Amino acid sequence: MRFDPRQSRDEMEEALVRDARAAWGDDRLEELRPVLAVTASAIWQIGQVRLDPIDVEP
Amino acid sequence: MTELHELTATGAAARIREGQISPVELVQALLTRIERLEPELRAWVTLDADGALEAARAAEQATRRGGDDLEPLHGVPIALKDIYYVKGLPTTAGFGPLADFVPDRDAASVEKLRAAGAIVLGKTVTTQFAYADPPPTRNPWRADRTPGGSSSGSAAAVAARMVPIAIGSQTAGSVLRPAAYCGVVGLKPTYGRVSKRDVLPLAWSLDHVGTITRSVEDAALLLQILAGHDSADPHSADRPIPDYLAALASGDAPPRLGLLPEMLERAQPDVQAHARDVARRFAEAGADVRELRLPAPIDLLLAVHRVTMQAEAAAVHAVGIAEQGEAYSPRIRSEAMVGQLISGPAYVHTQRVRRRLGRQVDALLEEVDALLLPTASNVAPTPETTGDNSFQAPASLLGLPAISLPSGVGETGLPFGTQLIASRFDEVTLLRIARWCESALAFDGRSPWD
Repeated sequence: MRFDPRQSRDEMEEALVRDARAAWGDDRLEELRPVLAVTASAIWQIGQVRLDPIDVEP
Repeated sequence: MTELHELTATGAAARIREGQISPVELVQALLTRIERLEPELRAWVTLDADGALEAARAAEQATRRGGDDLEPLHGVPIALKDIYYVKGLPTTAGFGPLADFVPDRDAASVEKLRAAGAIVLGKTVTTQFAYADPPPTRNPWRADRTPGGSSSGSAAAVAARMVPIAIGSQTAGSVLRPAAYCGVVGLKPTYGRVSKRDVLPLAWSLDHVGTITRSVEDAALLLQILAGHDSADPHSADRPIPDYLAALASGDAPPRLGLLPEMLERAQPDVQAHARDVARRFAEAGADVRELRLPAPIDLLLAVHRVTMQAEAAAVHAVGIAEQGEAYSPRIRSEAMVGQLISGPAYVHTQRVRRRLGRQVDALLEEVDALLLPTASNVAPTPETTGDNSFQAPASLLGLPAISLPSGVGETGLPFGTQLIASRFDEVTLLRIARWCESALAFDGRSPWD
């Protein structure tokens, strides 16, 4: 999934679901959906913290 | 005369040193208790009765020779969570394909504990790979509740007086939460304070070695033994080791505690009421209890923790999932699979936010000796989950030392836990305050499982 903080939370979840389908297939998708939703929310929330490149390092 | 299984590690070591009890009779007493309680409690994976008795006989001989140079845990039995390498004993991590894996060496912690005279009694139940799939272990306060996880067996065994001390690990909440749910003391030191060499990982930058005991004194004793630099662990801190035991005796000055009201608001009503009562009791005993606000929403801290853990767990289990996916339990499997989808830039940005949050909380901790909050948002729930890690995960994320103290028993018959979080590498302050709080709480509850 491309990391783009401008995406909405739902767009992030859609992207994760696409990636999950591609990586693990439809058989696994239903099992993964709850975790995909929570992960999308987490990544979106983290992405709202804007940091200049010269700011804190990882 | 105190029953042998009631002795703390400190108490047992003292009696052994003074010749009042034999290591052999101590081990035998615990084995008898385990034999009686284990069919119901299910805390153990591997019990090394023969090995423990052999070590106890050797310890007994050393005691009879006398001398003042007995080790601090001479003859004291200990349990290890089943992710720690113990030479000659299976290390299974709750994973079927590892059922017959027997390491040829001890983990760094185990080496130190043996050098301190401890006797390895066996390996305790862990959730699979120390994640969140429910264990078979029961809560020794109520059999219809979880003991928490992932250090499920360690917490249950200590609470049920099967062993005086045990080693666990914490990536989110896996030492403090089972300690709270089981009414015992759980200590998670600063990240890097204790070597993680030869401990099966879940998420490298979040994993901590932790201890489960029935007293703050025992927690300090264990940390004194375990702390220290290990060049084989790249995250091991090369810092001086303070005298943690001296810290306990360093005075009775009441602490400055920062109560976090936004955490209380997230807790269940009974936990919330109990936490306010604990804060009041601490204040009446002389503590300076002030309300502080976290510098960022707790949900952001939890989001950073989640993404970090998922991505790293995905890396740990990339080959395992590909080759033995069906042997994985559902929760760890799902998290590791989704973790594969987290991009590199997303993970890196997460770590930047993590570092910023760490600096902000470090600044907050300059105002007080420790943060004060419930260990968990709830008391032990029913066993389809291992409980809620949201109150413990922040300290794991930021690598801050944290301790859980049993602080009461509710109408459910289940214990409450109170958590203290101190500044990085300031376990001296954390343990000193914990000892003060332990005295103020005067908790005398015990699991009814007898």
